[in-house]
Amino acid sequence: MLAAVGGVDFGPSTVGAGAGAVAGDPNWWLIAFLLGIVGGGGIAARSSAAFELRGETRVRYLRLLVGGFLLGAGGWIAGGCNLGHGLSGMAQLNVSSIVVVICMALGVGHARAMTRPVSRTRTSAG
Amino acid sequence: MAGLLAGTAMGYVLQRGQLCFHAMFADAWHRRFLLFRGWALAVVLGAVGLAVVFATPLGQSLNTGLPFRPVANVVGGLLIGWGMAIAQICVSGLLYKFGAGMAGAVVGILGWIGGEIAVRQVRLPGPTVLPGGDDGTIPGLLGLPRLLVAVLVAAIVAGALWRWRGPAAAQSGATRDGAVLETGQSDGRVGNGTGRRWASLWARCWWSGGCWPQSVGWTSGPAP
Repeated sequence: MLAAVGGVDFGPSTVGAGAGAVAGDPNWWLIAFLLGIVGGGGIAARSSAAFELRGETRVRYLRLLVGGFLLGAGGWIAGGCNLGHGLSGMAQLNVSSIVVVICMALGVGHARAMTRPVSRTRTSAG
Repeated sequence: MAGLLAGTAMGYVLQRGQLCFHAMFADAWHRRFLLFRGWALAVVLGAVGLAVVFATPLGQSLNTGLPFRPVANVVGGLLIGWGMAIAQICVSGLLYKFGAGMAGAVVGILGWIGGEIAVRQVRLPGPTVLPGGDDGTIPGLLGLPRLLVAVLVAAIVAGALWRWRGPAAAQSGATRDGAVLETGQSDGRVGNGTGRRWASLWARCWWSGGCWPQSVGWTSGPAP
């Protein structure tokens, strides 16, 4: 509904923010939405005394970079991210979102099985 | 302003619920379904809510369904899954945890932007089996009204969850003091006092963590 108020045809998703900006056609509703998630997370953390400024290990930075790259690439190719397909798309009862979510789960399971020895040494996980 | 408002509400409830799709899938592979149950209920309630929104004049301008492209959907979904497992976080988790003080999330956010830009010209081969709009949805496929299907699915899922209910803590791996440490839904940084009480409440009220983001979701509108 807020998307409609904002003059766009979609709401919660992360796909298209970076590509749109590079193409010279930024989606300001989406960019504001993503910045709002950061702000909302901060407000929630501060109001619950859970805010903690912290860094990560070198390995974790590398994993974030590589994993983040795959999240961006996969979201673009799949036509939606975990929010777009996993929350909104599933609620739309999309056939594509059901397939994407199943593949996300399979991907997580496969990658975790392949990287299990590394996972045991993790220090901070989402 | 509408986007900022929707995002702030989404970030707030995601952080409070510690809802992370990576944690949900990873937990499910370890037969812990706390987050999964909350998400499933949220999805079906959201489906009913969206069906109502689509029936209003405000919903007429909104996206009603995504095209089904099997090759792109499968490859993209697997990439997202691998990305989540490697980064140990999802995209929304990167954003709200960055706001909550995880400075390193900015590296993941940069990687995510880079990944999207790197493949923006990529078009995988393969047919579009179902077009976008209502035809790409289960109600469209069945030729039934969206609200009817949404209510039926909600009833089936709610019934299954009711039969599947049990001590949430036993299925979540929550520790005795309420800090959810083993599920992966939290990295243990739940804070003291109020934060710990929120974690304890989440362990008991598994349904709330998914429902609040979903209510924000359909208030914001559907997404591709």
